[in-house]
Amino acid sequence: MEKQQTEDKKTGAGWEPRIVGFVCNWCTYAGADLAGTSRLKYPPNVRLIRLPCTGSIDPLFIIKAFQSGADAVLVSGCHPGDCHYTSGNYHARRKMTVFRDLLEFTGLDPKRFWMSWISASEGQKFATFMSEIVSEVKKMGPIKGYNEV
Amino acid sequence: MSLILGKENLIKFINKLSENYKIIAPVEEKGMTNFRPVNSDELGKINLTYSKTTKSPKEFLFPQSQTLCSYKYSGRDVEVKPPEEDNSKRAILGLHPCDVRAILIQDKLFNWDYKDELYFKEREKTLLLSMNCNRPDWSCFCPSVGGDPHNGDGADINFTDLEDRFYVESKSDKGKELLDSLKELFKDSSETDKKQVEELQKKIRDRLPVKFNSEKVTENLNYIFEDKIWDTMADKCVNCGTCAYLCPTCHCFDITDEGNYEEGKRVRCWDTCMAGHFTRMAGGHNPRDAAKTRYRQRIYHKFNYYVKNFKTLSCVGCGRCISECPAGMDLVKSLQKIGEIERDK
Amino acid sequence: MDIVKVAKELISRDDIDVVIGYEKGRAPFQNVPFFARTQEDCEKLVLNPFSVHNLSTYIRSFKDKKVALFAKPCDIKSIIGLLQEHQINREKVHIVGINCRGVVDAKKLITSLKDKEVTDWSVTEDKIIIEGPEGKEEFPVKDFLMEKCHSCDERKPALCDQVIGEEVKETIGKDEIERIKELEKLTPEERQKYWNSEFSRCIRCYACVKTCPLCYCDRCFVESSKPQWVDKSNSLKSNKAFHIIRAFHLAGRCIGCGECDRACPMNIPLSELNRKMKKSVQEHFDYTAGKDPEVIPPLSTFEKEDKEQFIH
Repeated sequence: MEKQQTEDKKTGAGWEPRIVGFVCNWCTYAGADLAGTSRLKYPPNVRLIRLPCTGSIDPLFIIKAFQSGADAVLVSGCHPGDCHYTSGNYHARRKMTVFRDLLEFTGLDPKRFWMSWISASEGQKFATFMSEIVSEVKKMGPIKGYNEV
Repeated sequence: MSLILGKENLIKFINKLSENYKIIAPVEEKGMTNFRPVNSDELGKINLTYSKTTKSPKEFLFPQSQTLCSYKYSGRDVEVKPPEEDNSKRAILGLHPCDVRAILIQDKLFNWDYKDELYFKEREKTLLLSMNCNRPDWSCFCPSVGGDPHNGDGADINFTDLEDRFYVESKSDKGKELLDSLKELFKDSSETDKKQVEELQKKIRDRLPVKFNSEKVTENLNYIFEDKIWDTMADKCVNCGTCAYLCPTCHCFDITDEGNYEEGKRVRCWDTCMAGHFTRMAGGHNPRDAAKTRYRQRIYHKFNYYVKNFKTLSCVGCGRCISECPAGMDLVKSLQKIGEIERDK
Repeated sequence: MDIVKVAKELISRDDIDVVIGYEKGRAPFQNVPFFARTQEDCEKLVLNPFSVHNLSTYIRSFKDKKVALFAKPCDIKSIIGLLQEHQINREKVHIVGINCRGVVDAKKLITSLKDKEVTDWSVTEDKIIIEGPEGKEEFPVKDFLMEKCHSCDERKPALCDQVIGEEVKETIGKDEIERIKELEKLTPEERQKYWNSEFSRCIRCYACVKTCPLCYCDRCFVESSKPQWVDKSNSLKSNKAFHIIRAFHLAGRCIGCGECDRACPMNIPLSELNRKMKKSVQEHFDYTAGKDPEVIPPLSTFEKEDKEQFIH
C-alpha cells in the first residue's frame, strides 16, 4: 500500500484517499453488509477491519493504520446502550475521546480521525457516512508526514 | 611530525577536509553536545571545547539500526537485496582519547570469531581526528582503566587545544598524508609549543587521579561471583538501557525483521544486557531475572571476561554511564569496592 | 528535621526491612537513592533540595518486605496511583511524607555554570553553595527549581504515616499547562514538525519507562515481538508510535513527577505529552490523578452520560 500511495501522490492526478475503518462485528459491519445487499452506492475507498467490539480497539491499531499510509481512520460501533458485550462501546468512547486529543496534539489533522455509531439496520447511514468521509478527505489531500519511515 | 594550526585557520582546514570527506563533528544543540554530520554552511556550529558528548561516536561505525538485507515480493517471486552501498569517506573531528580507545576496543570484537564486514566497511572509510581532552568532568576516570586524557594513539591525527592555536600531530600514515597535502595551512611547531603542550598535559592528568586498581579488580572478579557484595550494589538500578547505549564500547545487538507480506527488511539494532528480558528464553526461563545479576554481568563482561578474551578492559573511563544514569548508579564506586576486597590467602 | 533519627527509629522496628531515602553521591547537585538496611546505613541518609528522585518506583521491587520511604508530595501522588491500581499493599509501605519547597534541576544549574570548575557543593533549605578553585559562591534554590515545582500546588503530603519538615504555605503558582496551550496554538503541521524533531533524537533507552512509577508492566507493549507492534529499531516512525501510545497508556494516570523529563538522556520534553493528557482527562472527565486511592482511574471506567461531541 505504501509504494502505491507514493506513486499516486507523485502523479497527483487521480489520487484516491485510502481510509481504514475499524468496525464492530455486530453493528457497523452488519450495517455495511446491509448497505451492500441493498445495492446502495458509496465510494470504495474504505477498507473495513472487523473486530468483535469497538472496546477492543487499541489506539495502537490506529497509529499503525496512519503509519502504513491511511489518509483517514474511522472507528464505528454499536450505539451506546446497544453494545453486544454490554459496555465495550462506552469504554471505546472514553478512550477515543482522549486519544483524539493526543493525535491532534502530535500533529495529526483532527479531521482525519472519524468516529460514529452505526447499527446493523443503518445501511443507508453507513453509505451516506462513507460518502461524507471520502469527500471531506479528498478536500484535505493525502496525508503528509505521519507515515514517514 | 607536529605542526601548529592557528585558530583562524580551523574553518579553512575543515573546509578543505570536506572536499573529500563528509564531516562529522560535535555540535551543541538542545542543551547537550553530540556528534553529527555537519554541512559546509554549518561549520560555525562545531564545538571542540566540549567536556563530554552525551552519545558516544560509536553510532557512526556501528549504527543503532542498520539494514542487513531487504526483501520484496512480486507475485510469488522474492527479491532479496543487500543494503545500499555508500562509499563516501567520512572524517570524525574532535574525538576525545577515550572514544578513540573505544574504537580500537570495538575493532577487536568485530574481528574476533567473525569479521563483521558492515562494521569494517564503515571503519575503513572513516578518518579519526582526535582532540586531547581539556575538560574532564567529575565522572571521568580514564587513567584508572589505562587511558590518558592527552594521548591520541589510534587516531589518524591528534590535536591539542592551546587556547589560540592547535598543536597537531599525525598519528598514522593516512594522517601524515592528509597533513602533507594541506601543508599551507600549518606552521612547524617550536620548542615553546612542545613545552606548553607538556605543561597542559601534566595539568590535565593531575586532575584525574587513579581511582582504583583495575588489575586488582580483574583479579578479584575471578573469585567473587557468589559474593554477597552484589546483593545491594544494584539496588538503585532501574534496568533501562542508558548506560549501554551511551557506552562507547558496548556492542550487543538484536536482529529483527521489519515490514509486511510485500516488502521489508532485516535490521540489526542495539540491545542491552541491562534490560530485564535480555536473557529471557522461549520457554519463559530467565537466568538473569534479578537486577543484581545483570549488573554483575555488566561488570564481569567489561572488567574480566573481555580481558580474558582480548587482553584489554572493555571500558575506557569516559564516565557517560555514571553521569547519565537516571538512577544514580556509580560504576567507579562499585569498582572501588571490588578492588578493595582482600582475599584471605 | 533529623531524618537520620527518624530512619534509625524506623529500621529498628521489627516490621520494617528497608528504609529508602537519599544519600549524597558524586553527581553534582543531586542526591542518589539509598537503601538503608541497618542502623549504620541510616547515618548516610540526607534530605534536602537535591533529593530529586521519585523513590516510589522502588516499592514494587521489595514485594515481600515492608518498606519505609521518604516521599515528596509529588512522589506520594504516584504512591496513590499505585494503590488505585492495586500494585502495592498499603500495609506494607510506611510513608514518611516531606513538606516540600521544591527540588533543584541539576541540568539547569550545570548549564548555567558553563565552564566553571566545581570541586564541592552543598545545599541548605534555600541556598546552593558551590566551591571551586576561586572560592565559594551561593545561588538561591528558587532560581534553579525543577519545571514541575513552579506549578506545584500541593506542598504537603496527601497521604502518609508521618511528616517531616515545616508546613509550606507558599506556592509559585505557574500554570502547568501554559506550555501545552502554546503548543495547541500551533498548526497541525507545525506541531508535527516539532514532535518529529524531538522524537528523532530518541535512542529507545526506555529510561523514561523504567523511572516512571506507573510504567510497571512486566512486558511493555514495546517489547512485544509476537506481534511486533513497534519496531525495535529507532526509526522516527517507531519512536513516534512508542511515545504516543505510552502517553496514551499513562492518560489519567500520570501525576507529573517529571522523572521522565529528568531521566531522558536526549532532553526530549516527554512530560509535555503527559501534561496534555492530564489536561484532556480533566476537561472531559473532571478527573485529576493522584488524589484519591479509592477512585477508579477514568479510562478503566465509564459513565453512560459521557460526552460524545465528535461522534457522528
